[in-house]
Amino acid sequence: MVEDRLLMWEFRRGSRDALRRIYEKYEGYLLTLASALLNDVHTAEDVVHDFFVSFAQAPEKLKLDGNLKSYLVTCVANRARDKIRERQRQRAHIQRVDCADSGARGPELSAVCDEELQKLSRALGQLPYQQREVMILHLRGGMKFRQIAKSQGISMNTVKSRYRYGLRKLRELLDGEAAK
Amino acid sequence: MTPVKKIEGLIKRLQVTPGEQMHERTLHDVLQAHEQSNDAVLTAAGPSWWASIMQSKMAKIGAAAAILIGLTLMLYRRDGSFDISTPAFAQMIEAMEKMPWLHIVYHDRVRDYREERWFSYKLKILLSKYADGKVQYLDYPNNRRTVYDPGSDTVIISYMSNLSGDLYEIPRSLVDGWIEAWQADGAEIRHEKGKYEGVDVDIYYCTGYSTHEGIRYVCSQAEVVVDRTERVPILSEDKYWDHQGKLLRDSSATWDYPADGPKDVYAAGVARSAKVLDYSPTPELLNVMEAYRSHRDNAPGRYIAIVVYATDQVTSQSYVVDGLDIFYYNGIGQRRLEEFRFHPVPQKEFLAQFGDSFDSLMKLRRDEMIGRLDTWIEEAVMYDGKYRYSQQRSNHGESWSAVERVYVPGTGYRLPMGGHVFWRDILSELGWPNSLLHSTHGRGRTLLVENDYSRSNDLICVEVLDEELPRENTVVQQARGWLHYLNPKRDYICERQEIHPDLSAAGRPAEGFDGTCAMYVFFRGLFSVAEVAEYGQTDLGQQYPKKILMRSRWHNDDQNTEQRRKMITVYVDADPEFPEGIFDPGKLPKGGE
Repeated sequence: MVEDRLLMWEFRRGSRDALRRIYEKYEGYLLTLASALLNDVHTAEDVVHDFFVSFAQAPEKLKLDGNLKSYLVTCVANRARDKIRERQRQRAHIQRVDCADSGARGPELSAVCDEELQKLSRALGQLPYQQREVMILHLRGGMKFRQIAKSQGISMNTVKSRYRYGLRKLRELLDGEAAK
Repeated sequence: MTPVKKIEGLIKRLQVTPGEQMHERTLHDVLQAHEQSNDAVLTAAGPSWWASIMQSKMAKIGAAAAILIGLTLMLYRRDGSFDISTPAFAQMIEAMEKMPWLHIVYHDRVRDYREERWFSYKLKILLSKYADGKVQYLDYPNNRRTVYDPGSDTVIISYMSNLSGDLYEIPRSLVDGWIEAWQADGAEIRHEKGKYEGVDVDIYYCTGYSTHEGIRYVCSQAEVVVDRTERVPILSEDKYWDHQGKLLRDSSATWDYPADGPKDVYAAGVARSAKVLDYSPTPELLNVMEAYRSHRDNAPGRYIAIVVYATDQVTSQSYVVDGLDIFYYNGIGQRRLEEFRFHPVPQKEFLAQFGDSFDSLMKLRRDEMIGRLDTWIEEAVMYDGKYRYSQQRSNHGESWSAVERVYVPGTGYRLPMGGHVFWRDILSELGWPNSLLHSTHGRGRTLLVENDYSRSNDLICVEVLDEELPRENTVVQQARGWLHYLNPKRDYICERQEIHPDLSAAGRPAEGFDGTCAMYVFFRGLFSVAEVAEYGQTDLGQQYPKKILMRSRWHNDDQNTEQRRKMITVYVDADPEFPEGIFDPGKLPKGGE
């Protein structure tokens, strides 16, 4: 936490090194998050890339009230949501990530290749986006329900409902997989 | 059924490792974007000190002219035919100022950016016509700003602070600064005599240098054509590159000196059919603003102030101290700031340990005293009238960073000091906030208003509303609204300042800075207020705010109210004996010490 404050302090003063350290510290974390949200590592890479480029361009504009990590999570989640909307507009088919794709796409999906995580990944991909988003932000992004509610401009009860429904649906999907 | 805990645990275990290719590509683009963003400032500006100056609204007004005047004068000096210390310099400035109007047409081919300005030193009027169709007419003697906003096809007339002093002083200082900065970089000059459109001219070619990571490179080439009879510039060309040879600016400017200039925005092509919103300043408003300015000018100029920052942990209803600044001003343009940030200490504990007076808190400068606090950053910033020096260390006891020195000519500019940016000094800023004088950028208004609070507390209320400021497809400044409550019995100190970021002059909700980032949603319904809770007075009878309470409150979507409070306490010695060498850059710790 203190290190983040120091990094932001230096970054706001134009430090290239601080920017590099912020990027290296959170790159993997944000990529995981975006991949889980989008269920597509390739698009997630673009999201993380585009976010960091924008982040680098205007340190003076940053309105950082909470901690750096929450800020980054919120921004990447917003961009991921925009991507989803874009896809919906284009009526494009949302591709799912599986092990076979990972080699061609570059990133090492080592953990996702774990059998259980594979199933989970597939199941997550079948969840409505809003439910998946709440689950990922809460469990993987470490955001509290209240923070998610604030960042999305929805009530905390809505967030909790989405989480509950998402969890129920995930259980059904995973049990269905197990029965196959 | 799969247990919930197991599902949650699996999601927490999700992990994607970035591939080497992605890592390298993104890191490269990120660092390049960062560099370009820095270069963008330089593109508009030049040497790094200019970036600081360009933050000043008033400096921008004279910037286009100053760049070229400065360049021209620098060329004279480099050539040996002109010396700033000789009467020729004064004659040159005088000749420029005597011209009834100065008309400059500027074009940057890299950005395809055009700008046109008419400027009268004599009438104190500046008209600017921008590439996006915006037209701004500044009438300094009448404190009136007229702006044409092409987006809404509206002409807005509003109050503008009279800063004529800055207007005329800044270009001269910039000239001085420009010359020195270029000289320091060893610019090369070549001079030829010639003719331009039948006029005898001097043509000056200049090559400027800069350094990047220790490597010197050509950063600019300029050509200035000067009328040999009138001794005024009539044409200039200017190119600017980054260290990789990328062309950042390729500009030209033509100068002419017409006998007459525009009398209003309509003379610059604005259609008379445009809607007009007239918020012209009333005599009452002008009187209040003049009183505010004069008391602000009368605030202490030579003093030491210790500022202690405390935050209220709302849940525990108690304050913790997490920062302390010591400001030094010697009244002749030199200043220094020592900044300490540390892990929070309960306020009662802090005061018990370090005292509640100027003298006791000054002891915090001693190593053994500051060592009692768990500091995470210490920074020292000093300004000696020409250069700003700064250095930091991240933990007490660790080595200081090397001293960073930046050339900042003049003394009247907005000067970054650590995390603060002040037009003047800490007491002026806390007592007479700059936002009242410099808040609107043109598409806003300043009005005297009355409400229950001002009536019941016998205060004067000035409302400032400002539109958002878009530039090149992004919003560089949010729409804002302020209420300033001035206390005429307390030297017109702003006793209460309310900030409403979601109000705009047009009364519509403000948008966030970045459409892709919903962080601003956190502050929906924000109400922020700073109030003077206690006044102090110097031996000379000057008043200042001693204790300021700052509160922010906003509503979340569950209709719950969230809030945060801060307390700023100021300890002042207005007749100080400055510690020895406090303004001497040679006494700063060497990097690594």
